[in-house]
Amino acid sequence: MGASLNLLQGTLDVLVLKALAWGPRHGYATARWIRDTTDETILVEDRALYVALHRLEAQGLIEAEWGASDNNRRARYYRLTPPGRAALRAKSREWTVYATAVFKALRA
Amino acid sequence: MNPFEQVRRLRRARPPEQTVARDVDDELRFHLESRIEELVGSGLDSAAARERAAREFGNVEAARSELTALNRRTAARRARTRRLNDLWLDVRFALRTWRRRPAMAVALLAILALGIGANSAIFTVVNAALLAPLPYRDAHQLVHLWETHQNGAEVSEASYPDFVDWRAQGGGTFDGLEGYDPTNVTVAGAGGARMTAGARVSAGFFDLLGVAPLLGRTFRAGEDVPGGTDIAILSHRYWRTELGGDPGALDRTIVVDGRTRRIVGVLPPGFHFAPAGDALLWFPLDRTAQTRDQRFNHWLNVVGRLRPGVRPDAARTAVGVIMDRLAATYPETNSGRGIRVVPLRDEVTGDVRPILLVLAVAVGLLLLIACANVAGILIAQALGRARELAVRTAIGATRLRLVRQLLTESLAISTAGAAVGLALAYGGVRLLVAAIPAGMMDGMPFLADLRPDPWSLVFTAGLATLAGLAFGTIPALIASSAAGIGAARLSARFTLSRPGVRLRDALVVGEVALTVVLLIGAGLVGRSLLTLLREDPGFRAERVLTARVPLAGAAYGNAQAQRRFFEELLGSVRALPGVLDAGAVTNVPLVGGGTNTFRVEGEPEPPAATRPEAVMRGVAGGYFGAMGIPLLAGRAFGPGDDSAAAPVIVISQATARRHVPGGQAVGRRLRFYAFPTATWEVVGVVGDVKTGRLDTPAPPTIYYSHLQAPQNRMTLVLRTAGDPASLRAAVRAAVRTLDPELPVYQLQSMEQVVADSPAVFARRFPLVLMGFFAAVALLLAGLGVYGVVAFGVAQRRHELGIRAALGATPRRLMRLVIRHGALLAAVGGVGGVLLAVPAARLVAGMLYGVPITDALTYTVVLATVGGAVLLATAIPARRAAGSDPATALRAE
Repeated sequence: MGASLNLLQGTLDVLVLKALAWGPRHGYATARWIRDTTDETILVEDRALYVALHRLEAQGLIEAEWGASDNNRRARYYRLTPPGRAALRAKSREWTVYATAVFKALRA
Repeated sequence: MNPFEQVRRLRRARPPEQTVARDVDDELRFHLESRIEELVGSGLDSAAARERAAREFGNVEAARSELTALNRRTAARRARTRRLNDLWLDVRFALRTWRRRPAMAVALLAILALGIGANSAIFTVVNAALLAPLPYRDAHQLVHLWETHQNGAEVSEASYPDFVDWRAQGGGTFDGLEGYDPTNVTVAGAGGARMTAGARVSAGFFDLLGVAPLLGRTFRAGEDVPGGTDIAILSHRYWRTELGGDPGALDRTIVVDGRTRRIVGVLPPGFHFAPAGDALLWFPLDRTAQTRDQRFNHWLNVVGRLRPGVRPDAARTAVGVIMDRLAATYPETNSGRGIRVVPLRDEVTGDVRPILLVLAVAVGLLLLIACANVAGILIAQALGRARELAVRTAIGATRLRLVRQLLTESLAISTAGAAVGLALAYGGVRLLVAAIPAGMMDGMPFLADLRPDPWSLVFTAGLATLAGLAFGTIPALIASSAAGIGAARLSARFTLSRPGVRLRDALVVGEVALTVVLLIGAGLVGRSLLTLLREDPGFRAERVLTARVPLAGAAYGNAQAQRRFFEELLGSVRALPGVLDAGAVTNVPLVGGGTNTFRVEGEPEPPAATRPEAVMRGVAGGYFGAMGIPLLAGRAFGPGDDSAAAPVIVISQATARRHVPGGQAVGRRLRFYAFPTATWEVVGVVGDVKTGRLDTPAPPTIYYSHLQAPQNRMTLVLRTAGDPASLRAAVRAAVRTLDPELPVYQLQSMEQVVADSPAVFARRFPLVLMGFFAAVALLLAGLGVYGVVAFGVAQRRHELGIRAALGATPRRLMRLVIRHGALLAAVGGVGGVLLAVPAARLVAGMLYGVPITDALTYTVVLATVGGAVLLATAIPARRAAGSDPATALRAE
């Protein structure tokens, strides 16, 4: 399915947080995770992804540290902070409630 | 890698801001390259992979600048937070440090609170009295005009015709000239009559000052005619307290001295006019046309507004020319008369300025001593912490960081000191103002309701910061350098560095020197006050009660009624148990009063400029006996000296000696220039009385009987068998029995009058404060000496032990220690005397009968300081004397 969906406001943030929930990742790995887990349904422009990463970092929801990538190159790794983890929980819940409601409406 | 190195690396791990752009580049490049590699791995050729990765990414350049900007902002915000956090950490650390040493913290806090509190209190008063602007438009242009006479030796108010001529001829100098005439009035009210301060002013008075009324209007031209107009303007305070701030006040009337007046205006809050005392009610000038024609009658106070650019000196010259012209035209009244032009500010604060300047200097010295003291303590303490500081250096704290930490500690304690000090200042200001007698307070209405204002808060905060930096910097620098030494040998006991010892010695020497200065200043003023109070004022103040009774209203409009009232009053108070003698006088001694010029019959006509002049006092009953004024020749007044009899006077010894040649004054006659038709026969001579000031010679004084020249205002004078205060209620009751409408005020003992008189107050007020400051300074200097000497003994325990082992007697050891203290005291004492000689010039104006180099004062002060230092040295000296060789050796 090649159709791209316009991301709803805030959706990218929750996806990024979720991507980091399994452990530290650099930006490229985060992009890939989103692409893979959504079966390329949601196409995120990489530029937007990086802006989201840096904004979340500025908000203190994630923190970054330079480290070595698998092929031993300098990469910037992002990791959830405790407030980030809490934000992820809250936003997933909101999203689920929202999506369920939309589903119900559409199936009515 | 050693652990300290690791700590340092962690501290440096934060990326500097310049690397933000490079990091963004790196991150984006890594992303693109990884994606291209992956796409190539999945079979795309390199150009297609590159193109696809770029497309997926979007605008790389835009992303780069967007991210760089975002990261820079974040980095800046984090740096700010970090700095705040560091500061907070420093403050918390400082508080913890102080909490570990509560006794030390309390001692330092007390010293600083006292120093800062005293300074803030004095500053608040200085600010209100000297620095705050007068509440008038362009107040710097306002001047007060005094006429001078006796060729400039004396000043007086202006006569009305002179004032009119100044107005007419001074147009080039003044934008306006207005007159005022302070007066006390009786206001009828529900609870009986009340004495209230007021003033009668010419119509343009308020416009000249540039004061706009809060309600209604000020006076209009034509309202200050002879006889006046039945209107009044209220001060804001009177309106608030007596009329409850009634917005409809303009429709109301008040009865003043029996005359009903319509309220036409209310003045704005904050308005005061100190030269008219604390006047609450204002009326148009109402003196009679006859009074306004008399050039010999000097009663009008004159204020003027200088034209822009005209200096007071130029105004003096200009009015001087007018006065010369008047002297030529009216030699009878105006020869020898000149003019004095005083800036209004000097007129208002001239008396208190020297007092406040002395106090400001004294309290500043006290703060210096307090700071030196605290610095000494902190140096000792900082050196004691060398080990802690060394450890912190070792784990990566820079010297700057340590200095900052130590400064934070000293600023924390000085801020706390300032907070407590401000509370002290709050109470202190009240005490200062409460100590000012009512009579003097009337001249300084700006001090009423005084409390530390925003400027004082700023001043206090500034002081605290300065003090914290002043006493914190040096110890911090010494301690941080000591930390470097200490780091080299963490386990070794740290010994005091030479600069540290010298600096503490220097601080203590400075404390001793400044203490000597303060003590000498206080000593000189104290000796002056004692000398002054030992002066014979010409009367006996002990066990005398005085009470002012003004007659007001139509009932007392004629001479007969006035005479009868005071005679009846004297009759009834004389009958009171405990009253030995009773009289009355127009003005008691030490409060000044008007003068008259006269000539003695049979003597050559004196030149108009240097006519004999005497202070005039009307008396009733047994005034001379009640006041304890001795009769030297002739007789006092008797009941027969009434309006039917020939006019008689009693003169003071100085009057007789100076103006009645031939030695035989009784029986001579004289004439007053103001009443040329009557001659007065001298029937008695009494002792000289200081009618004006206690610190100036008694002026010639002439007494007349109220039976022959009745008065509407007299002060009752009662000599009592016991405590005069016990008769106060009885005196009030006696007046009320005669007329319940009459007020009684200034009900006080004559001793109180003396204590509150300007000459005494101007010395006692600064003396009490200087004495207090000097006592605190002495205590602090003693503590400083003790601290240094005791620390020295502790440092030299080992050496003293060895000396003891080698056979030094306890006496010798004690002498060794005392020598240290004595040396500090000697150097400080010499320095103090050298400083005191120029500093004492500041108090020169307060001295009376004591030279500024008074040997006795200097000797006593040096002996006191020497004694205090000896006392402070005694305890450590005894400890040294008990040095035990064994302890010394074990300590090693």
